Amino acid sequence: MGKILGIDLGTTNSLAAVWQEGKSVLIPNSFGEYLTPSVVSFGEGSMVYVGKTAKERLVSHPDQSVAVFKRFMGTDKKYKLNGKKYRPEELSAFVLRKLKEDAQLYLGEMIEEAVVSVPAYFNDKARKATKNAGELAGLKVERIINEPSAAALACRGGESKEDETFLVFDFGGGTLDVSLVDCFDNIVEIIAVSGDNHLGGSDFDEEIARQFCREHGLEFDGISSQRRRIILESANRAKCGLSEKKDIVMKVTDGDFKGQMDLDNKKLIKASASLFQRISVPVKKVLNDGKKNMLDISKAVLVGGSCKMPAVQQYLRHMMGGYHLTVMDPDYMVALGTGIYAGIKERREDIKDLLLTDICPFTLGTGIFNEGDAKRTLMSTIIERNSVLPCSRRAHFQTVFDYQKHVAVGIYQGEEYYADNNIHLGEVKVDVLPALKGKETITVDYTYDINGILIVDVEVDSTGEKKRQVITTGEDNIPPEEMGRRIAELEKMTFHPADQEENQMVTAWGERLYAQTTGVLRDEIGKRLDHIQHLLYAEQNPYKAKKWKRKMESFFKDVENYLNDVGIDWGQEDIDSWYVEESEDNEEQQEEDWLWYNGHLTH
Amino acid sequence: MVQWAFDTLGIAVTTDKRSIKKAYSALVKEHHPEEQPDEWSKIHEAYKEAMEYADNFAEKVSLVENQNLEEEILFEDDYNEVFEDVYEKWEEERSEKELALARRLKELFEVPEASAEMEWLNFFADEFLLSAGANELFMLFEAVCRNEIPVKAAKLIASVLIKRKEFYQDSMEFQKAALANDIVNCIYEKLPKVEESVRRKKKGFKGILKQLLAGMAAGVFIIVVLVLVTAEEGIRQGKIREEAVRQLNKKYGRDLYSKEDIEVERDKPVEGRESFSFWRVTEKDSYEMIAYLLGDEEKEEEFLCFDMLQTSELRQALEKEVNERTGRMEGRLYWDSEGRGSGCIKDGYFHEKYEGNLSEFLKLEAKVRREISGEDHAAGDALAGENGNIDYYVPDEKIWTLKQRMELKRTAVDDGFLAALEQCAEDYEIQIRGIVLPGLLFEEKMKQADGNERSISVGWDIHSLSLYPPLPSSMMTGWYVCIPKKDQEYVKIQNGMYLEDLIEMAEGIWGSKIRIRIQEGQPEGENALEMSGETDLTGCMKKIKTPDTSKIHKSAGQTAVSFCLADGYKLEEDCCLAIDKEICKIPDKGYRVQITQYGSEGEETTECTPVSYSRLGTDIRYGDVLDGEDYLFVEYPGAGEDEKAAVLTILY
Repeated sequence: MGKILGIDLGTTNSLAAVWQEGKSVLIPNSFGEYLTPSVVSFGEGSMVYVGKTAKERLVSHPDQSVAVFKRFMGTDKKYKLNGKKYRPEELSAFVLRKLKEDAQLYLGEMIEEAVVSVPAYFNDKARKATKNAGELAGLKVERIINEPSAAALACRGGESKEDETFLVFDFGGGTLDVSLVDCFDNIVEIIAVSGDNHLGGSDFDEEIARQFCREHGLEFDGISSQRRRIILESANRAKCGLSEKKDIVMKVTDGDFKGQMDLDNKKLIKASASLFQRISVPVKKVLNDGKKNMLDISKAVLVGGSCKMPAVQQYLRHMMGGYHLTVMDPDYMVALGTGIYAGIKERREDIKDLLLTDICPFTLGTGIFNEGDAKRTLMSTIIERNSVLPCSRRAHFQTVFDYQKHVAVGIYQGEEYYADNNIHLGEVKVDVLPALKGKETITVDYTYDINGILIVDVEVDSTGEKKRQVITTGEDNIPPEEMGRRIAELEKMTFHPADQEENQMVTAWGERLYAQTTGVLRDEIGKRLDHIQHLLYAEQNPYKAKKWKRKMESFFKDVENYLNDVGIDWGQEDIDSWYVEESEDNEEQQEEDWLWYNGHLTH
Repeated sequence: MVQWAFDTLGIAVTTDKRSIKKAYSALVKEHHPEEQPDEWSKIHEAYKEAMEYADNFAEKVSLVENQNLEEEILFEDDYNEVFEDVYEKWEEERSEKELALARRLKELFEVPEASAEMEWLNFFADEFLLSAGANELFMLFEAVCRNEIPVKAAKLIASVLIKRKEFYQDSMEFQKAALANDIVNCIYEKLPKVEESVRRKKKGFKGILKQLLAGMAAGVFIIVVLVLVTAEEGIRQGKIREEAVRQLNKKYGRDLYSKEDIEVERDKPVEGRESFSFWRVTEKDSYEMIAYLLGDEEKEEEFLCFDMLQTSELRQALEKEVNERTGRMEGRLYWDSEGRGSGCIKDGYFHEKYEGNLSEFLKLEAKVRREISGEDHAAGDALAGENGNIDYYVPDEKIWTLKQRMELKRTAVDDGFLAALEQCAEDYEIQIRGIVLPGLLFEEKMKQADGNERSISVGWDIHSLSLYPPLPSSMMTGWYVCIPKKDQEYVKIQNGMYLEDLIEMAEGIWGSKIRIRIQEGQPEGENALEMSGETDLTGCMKKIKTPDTSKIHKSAGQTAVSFCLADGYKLEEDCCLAIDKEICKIPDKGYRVQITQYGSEGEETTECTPVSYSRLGTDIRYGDVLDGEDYLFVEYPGAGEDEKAAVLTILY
């Protein structure tokens, strides 16, 4: 059996892991980093960038770059980039393909199968879209697991520890999932889950950015998209900065506009009070659903990037009464969990007994005729929220009109009383024999499989007619040949070769800074960009380019510092003096570069 | 069940959760779901069952202990102040929301009595129930208790909240359920008239619950309808049942039914006819509809009874009559019972007794209906002033196939037919829609209609003038709607109206030469064949640049036919292409239809689903391709401002 890759396909960052030598191991990307930003950017021709480079291009080429598309998985949203339309799963496929290729390089073997994690609150359509994304990337998605469940697995780590009940608080870039987990022996059982799938770290960025705009008399919704992006990015930096420092000065430079704002955790909490309220809702809900109270909980495991925020930790501590708070590697937990699951799936001796039981996070049902108001159908539950997966439930229905010819079984997800207030997943329509009402009956089977994908079977009792629907969005129901075509199309797009990627990344960085600066500084950046382009494409001299790349990096770092230090003017002299210093090349480094150039060192 | 669970787990019955878990985890090692999903399911079910048993019978943890811990949970640090501010802010936001709700409630209580019920209904459906927490329910409770509410609105609030209470109980939100119950009680206390029945109601409610439970236990299908029965209604129902039996037996002059044979159910009032109460009379246990009872709310004792016992007898008589007049003995007639929803009298229900004289009977019937419905005749949907709508289907005498129909471009139905239909409508005070279909299509439809006495339908839009989707209408050769009085004529389509248009449009396009290219895996240009006259196009044209090229598919073994407009023309509106499969060499099965639209954002290709044309009127979706009698009918999209003409490709 080939290796199975565990993938945490995140909103902001994605990671991959495999089961190796009795543990889950993270796989570094071509930069040697574990986190690959979930950003896709399209360059000239069929060139596509994924990860860090693409993230830089988000500012310099906003029209060609895209992030946070995971939020729209399973919807009909399309992104127009470089004149072409992309669906969220196609964009996700690029990320998956990048992870896969990096992993293949690292492991030295081909990978065809994967376990992919999704937010617990991903609905059926989004899960199906994730599967499709895998397929588009040339990966057979063997299992879809919920992110918090993966985190719970990672937390348990395959060892038999003592029995415990804990909360997994998965607060990522775009979603919040809270799970209540019961662990004993080799069992990791998810008891209840809840969440808010439109709440994440970027909401905090936005609140900070709004606060910044308020303080500078700007209208957040009214400023240009370029400036908004710059402010948001600065807000994001400030937010991340607060994870290490008590207070920070947020600085924004965009052309002629310069501004700064002091920020500390308390101010952040006040500015985003409403977000904290939203955080408390799912926590209360899982405790309620799982019939537990705070006292039963032995600890809370925090995963997801947003849990790194001291403000969030502080709030949870408050809510939980101050104790049992374990912050695990918030960025890595989910990926490590998928790696463990990959091990289980590979049936490795050292992990095969570990068992994760997951649940269906929402109620699934159908709409039934409402005698009181024919226009508004009522929700009739078939699979109840928090049922253990896989699960299958059967229900019987009958006709409500005389000589009714068809019965439409609407498939809904949600907790609302009226069916139309829930999410409509699809419909199965069957013909019944015309008869007086109540005479004709149908049997409806809902099967929610271990991947969290819903299959609906409807049988007309009188005629035996059967119809099956696997819930998909309209376009997700791709016939194999169409799928083949789309895979081929996406494969045409090529990633930058790994050794060029770093150069591209520096170029993209420069382009972003170029967009953010004015005057002399801008010219200087421009000149350097021209130079490195020349080296890369005209001279095609990798040695020189590598040498220059390092110079550029340190120059850009300086520029970055300068930008974050508004108020100090940088004159020509500064640039010159910097240049003189930098051009005294470190000899050791030069030596190494030569060795590399002559093939004595691998990259 | 409990025994089974513990047997499966291989342990003795116990309330010790630890040993249940141990047994489970040991078993799972042998039956991992990744290897033996079915076995695992069974074990897991047993485990859940056993745990539930343990939960229910284990000694409860003492509450005192919990309270002690509760105190410990208080936590203090230098963030307290900040969070207090935050909590305060939430409180403020909440009070803002509360204020808004309070204002809305005040508004609702000031709504004039006549529209109060509707307003409250909207309020519940669109605003309140979606987000109502315990707090909001409490506000409603207070408001209801303090204010006067019109009787109807009060009943509505009570009925909504009774249902809601059940919902809350099901989802274990007991606090909300209790509040909903309080509101209901509060309302009943405010209605002095029904005080007595409140007491009975409570008893009645338990009875219903018992019935429900018994029904479930017996494995009876869960009835998909929630029926609200209050005590007042209960008493009323008894009376109505008596009345229904009386009316039916009186009308038919024999003891058709007794009180025990039937059930009555209140139907929702028809909009604009709130002064009537509607009751459905059904046969006990079988739910077979028998009749509708109409009561005048003002005069409690007066009822009208509409029953469907004579429907088929009347249909046959009328069909015979109409056929004789039009001279088309093969014509078929259907009371239109489609699309009516509940809560109204469907056509086919009659008040009078039919004694053999059709004309007299229908006139009398129409009179009764007019009297009840007052002046408003046009509201045909609910309680029509006339004897309702009738669809009349006939085959076109001269046109047998679609091909003939395409070639003829004009209906073969004569004016005499139309006149005869109009005369029928006038004489019998009915609305007749005559639908003339090509012979083969007629036969298909009749085959479909066999076994369904009530209604068939040809296309979605046969009852309206809309051109969308244009497919079905291009298959009909005539369509008339006749209503007796000239001033009530709301739809009347002249003989062959569509076809006149078609010809005009088609001529315009032919003038510019539509090019239909046949390609067999060859580059464009070669094998191009110019044809005209094989298409029907409706819509307006505008000269612009369109792509002259067709899409070429070169995959091995695959052939494509592409259609596009000649250079310089585009269609402003969607139209229907009728493609002759023979000429284009399209096989009967196994082809695919794609439409590629060229816009400023690049091209977009949609795959159309072929559907057999005989299924028209069932579940055809907009954009489907109709296949029948050697023709493909394809929706051809008109081009928008920045778009070029689309290319239609058929792959096989």
